[in-house]
Amino acid sequence: MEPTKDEPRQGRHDADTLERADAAIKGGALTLETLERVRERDSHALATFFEFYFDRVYGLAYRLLGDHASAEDVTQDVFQKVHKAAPQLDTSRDPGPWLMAITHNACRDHWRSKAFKLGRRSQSLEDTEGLVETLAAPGESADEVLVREEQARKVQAAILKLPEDLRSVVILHDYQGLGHEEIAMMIGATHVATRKRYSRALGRLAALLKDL
Amino acid sequence: MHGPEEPLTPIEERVQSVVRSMPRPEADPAFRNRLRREFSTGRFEQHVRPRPTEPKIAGWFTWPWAMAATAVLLVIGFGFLNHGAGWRVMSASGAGTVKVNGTSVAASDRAALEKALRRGGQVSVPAGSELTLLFEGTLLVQAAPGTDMHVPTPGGRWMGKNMHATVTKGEARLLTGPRFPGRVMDIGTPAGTAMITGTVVSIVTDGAFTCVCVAEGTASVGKSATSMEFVPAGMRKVMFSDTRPAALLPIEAAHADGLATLMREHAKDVEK
Repeated sequence: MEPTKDEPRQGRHDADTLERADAAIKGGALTLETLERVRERDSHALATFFEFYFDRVYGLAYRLLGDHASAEDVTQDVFQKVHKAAPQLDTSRDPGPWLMAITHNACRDHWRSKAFKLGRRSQSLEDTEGLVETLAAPGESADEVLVREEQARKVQAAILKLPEDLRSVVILHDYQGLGHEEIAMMIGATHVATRKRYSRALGRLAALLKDL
Repeated sequence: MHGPEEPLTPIEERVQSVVRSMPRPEADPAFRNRLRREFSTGRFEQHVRPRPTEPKIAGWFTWPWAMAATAVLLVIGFGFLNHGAGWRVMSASGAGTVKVNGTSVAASDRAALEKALRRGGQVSVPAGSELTLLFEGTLLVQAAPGTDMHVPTPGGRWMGKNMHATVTKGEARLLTGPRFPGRVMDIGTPAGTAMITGTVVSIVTDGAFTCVCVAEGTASVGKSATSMEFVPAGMRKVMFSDTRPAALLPIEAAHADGLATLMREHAKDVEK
């Protein structure tokens, strides 16, 4: 976006919006009022909605695709779709699973795209190197941080080695915290099939991560 | 949301805890801020990320094409290697002109004759000349004075080994070499055909009759494919263009001498 004369005002607007979003998020959930205003595409409500879900959307995309560039593409795609569909938002239900379903589908489209396959082919380990952008937890030594990073790198690499259907299930369940019933609805499979996939995914991960 | 599900095995539980302990990835703050601004205002901009592009070669390079190209190269290479050496002119006596594929070439000009006859062709040897050709290690052909014949294309090393010649007038003498076995050569004449698989023969014809004289080995000779019979060494078979029956007779002294001379003079040449 080109810089404009309104830039300072835009900055204040952003700060104001972020402040409100923080307040809403600290409350633990989006209120019905916020969702109603999202339907009306109120900018403050949209910013709150964004702050509330961004990490989950980005995290899911990143865990499924394995690189930041692809995760950014998918996240942008998801929020564009959400903005477009905002007037049809069902305020009586938690938008979380809906958002996760959109993200999952976008990831599926993305990793089947030619560009993604080409990117995978030429990708080095650089993405998994910088996988864990974490700060040391209080009381954690530098060595402990390194060990944790190395473990996270191995886990992510192992997850990316799983076939798409198994990867989705394990990420949605263990990383996004969705139950098998929700996942089954999202991916269009039965509860039993989803549970079996999850079990197979864990089995394969166990084999890949046996040295952890 | 991790509601009670079917119990996990200890290994599954361990893997599950490892996966769940993974930290949440942090997005680039600049990206996050931009997308929040765009989402809250509804003004999305197109951010074109440079995509990895396939190497240009990938546009046309595909495995089926590569395999096809390799196959073509192999076929060409095989064809090239399969090509035996061409005919070599051992001797061309006389002062007349030999007609090769309708073109007159001085019998004394061996180089021109060899160039014209490298891959075989129609040859007319004048009455005062004699032409001896060699397909190294395989076959020696001698066209006597006054002979019209088709010199066969040299057979391949591994494929297309068989050869086909015709003698329409005069006398052609053939002497096979050590690389001939495994090949079949048929010699067509106006009155019949001779098939040789390794022998020393002469084929004499004047159009009305054909005489196949066998000095060594055997040859299958007959008016047609259904009437072929073996002609042993020292014998000749005479066939006629008209309805007269073929005759199997002892080889005539003149032809025996001619073949003996051929072996004496050229056996070493064809064995090289």
